[in-house]
Amino acid sequence: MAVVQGNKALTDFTVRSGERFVSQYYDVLNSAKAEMHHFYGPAAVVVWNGFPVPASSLQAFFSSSLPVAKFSTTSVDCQPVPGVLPGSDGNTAMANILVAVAGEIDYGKNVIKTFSQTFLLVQDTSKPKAVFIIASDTFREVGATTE
Amino acid sequence: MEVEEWKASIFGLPGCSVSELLKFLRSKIGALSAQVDMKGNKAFLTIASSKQANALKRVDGMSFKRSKLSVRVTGPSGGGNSSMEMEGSSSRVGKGSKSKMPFKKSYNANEISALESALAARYDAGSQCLQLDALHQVGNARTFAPHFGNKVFVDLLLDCLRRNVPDLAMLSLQHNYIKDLRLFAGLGKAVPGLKALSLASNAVSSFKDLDALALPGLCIFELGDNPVTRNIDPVEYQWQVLRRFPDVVTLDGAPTEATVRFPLPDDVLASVQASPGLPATGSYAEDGGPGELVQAFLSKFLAVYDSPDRTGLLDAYHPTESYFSLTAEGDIDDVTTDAFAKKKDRRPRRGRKKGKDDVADPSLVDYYPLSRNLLAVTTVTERMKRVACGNIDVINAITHLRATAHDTSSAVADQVVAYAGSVPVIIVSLHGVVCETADGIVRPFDRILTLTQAEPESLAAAAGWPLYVINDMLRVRKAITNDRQADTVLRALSPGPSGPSDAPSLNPDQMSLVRELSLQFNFNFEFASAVLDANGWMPDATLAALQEMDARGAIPANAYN
Repeated sequence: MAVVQGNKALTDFTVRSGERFVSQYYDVLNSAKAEMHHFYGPAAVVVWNGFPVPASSLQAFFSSSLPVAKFSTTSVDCQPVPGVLPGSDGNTAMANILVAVAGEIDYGKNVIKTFSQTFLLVQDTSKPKAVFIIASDTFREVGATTE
Repeated sequence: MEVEEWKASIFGLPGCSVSELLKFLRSKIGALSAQVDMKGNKAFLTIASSKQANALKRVDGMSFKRSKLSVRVTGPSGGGNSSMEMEGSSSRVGKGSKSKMPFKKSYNANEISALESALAARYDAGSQCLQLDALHQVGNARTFAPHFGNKVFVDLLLDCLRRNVPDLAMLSLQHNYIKDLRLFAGLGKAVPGLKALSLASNAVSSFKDLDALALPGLCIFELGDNPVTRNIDPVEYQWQVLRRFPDVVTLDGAPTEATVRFPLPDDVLASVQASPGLPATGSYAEDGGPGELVQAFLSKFLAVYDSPDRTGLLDAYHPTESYFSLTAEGDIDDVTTDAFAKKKDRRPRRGRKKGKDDVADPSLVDYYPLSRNLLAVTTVTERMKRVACGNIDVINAITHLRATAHDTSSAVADQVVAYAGSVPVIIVSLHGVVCETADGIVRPFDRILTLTQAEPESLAAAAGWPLYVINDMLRVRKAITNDRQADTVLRALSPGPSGPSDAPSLNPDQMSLVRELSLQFNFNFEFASAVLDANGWMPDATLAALQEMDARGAIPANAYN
């Protein structure tokens, strides 16, 4: 691909933040499901396999509705999503982060499914420091590995 | 025709009104029309229908408002709690006073033939059923002196059965004062094919006696109204019978239920027994959202993408703030997130890039140099190299990818609207299969697009794009090489991209029921919602219907995920 013309520092920052998010997200998902809801903002839009999960029910969703399973990631990619598009007032605000994850869910009993999950991470403006929360989470199981 | 009048007495009632009692009874047995006379904790019912009266017997032992009920049902002339309906049944004959039959020590030919003709009269060849209730009340009974405590008589009877009706299927011995079943030890040899036996309204006092009966094929059994079964816990009764006659399916007219229950809350069991998997449904789009606009955009986007000239997509991407990158499956060995957890060194611990020789899918190898899997590509330079920024760069990148033909009918597109700062963006997660036309390779893919509204004066709008792309992340997966893989992938995708009009019109409670049912049995959305809908969205009725379907083997294979 051609030499990148974008903002190098911006993209790099985005990418590293995204990586850190992914490692934390799935670690918590595998070991402390009941705490997962902390990642999500109060107005988060969450859709798992086509079913919307209201932000207020996230804690219950992760604690009880999720079957026992181990998540692992096989691929992670991140891109910045501009907060304000240039041309409106010329400033690009702190960029938001789009994260695309592909991985596997091991349900045990030799059932392994592949999943694809997409997050939009935005800055939590209620916190002073650079804290990012999930504004949207779309999850889907997209196949099963052959046994 | 005389009108039958059945009487039932119910003891152990909690405080309740007649109508409450009737409502409870009807909830258990269905239709019931009866005159009810209530006295304190007792109720006396007069019922015209024998069917309803028989059904009422099932209420014996049930709990009503935390009181255990005791139900006794008597037939028109005072007959006992039996419900076996057999040809020519005359079980209305009362017990009367104890039989005064003498014990005969031996039988001559005349007496034997008298017995045999009595048996013949009560035998129905069509149903292979012999009805020997209250044998002592037969006209010429004194001739053969039926006394079921008399070993000589019982042996004679069994011998007659063996000689005359060895293929007997049903035998009723009600109201015969039968006490000692050990005398019937030869029953199994005499009529080995016996399927139904009624010993109701006798004097059996111990289950141990049943051990003597060797009837392996027994399916229908009655032992009600005997000292041993009076006031017995129904579950224990079933157990005692089933351990001796494991094939019994109908006991005292009622089907044998599964087993005992345990004090577990319902949801614990559901969550533990759930087949692996999350419930899934079709493409998601918010009601009142930009669904149609997105559909229109996607159709146009994919059409141009599949055309020989992808440069038509230039104006679909934002001139400066658009990004494209791709990842390819199999570019790295199994890597778990542990590799990243605390280490400063971000090299994946178990990762190893693949060369041409050790990949499962060689057709993906060309993608690997472009694949921007952060778990595999760790240097900043490389990561920068593999993302395109700005529409010219993006178009440059995508025109170098293989020519494609997308299968839009099986694709799933979940769309959500979120705010990136002050800008509303539509995030579309597209999952489907694509054919690489040069070689005919078919592979599954995932594509994440973030779209935003094109201002009317923008180049995008001028070129006819209602929305334009800010982010585009493509993932190409291993080619589908056989039907089995195709099936797995396509089953994971629900049929058809659905716009807002296709979204299931279920309210949140219904969705929650569908999800729970799917979770419990691993049904897919369509089947779960169909069966719930067919049962009025009532969980108990649905479960009962499913059990019944399962027993008939009527749950289709495509009901599952």
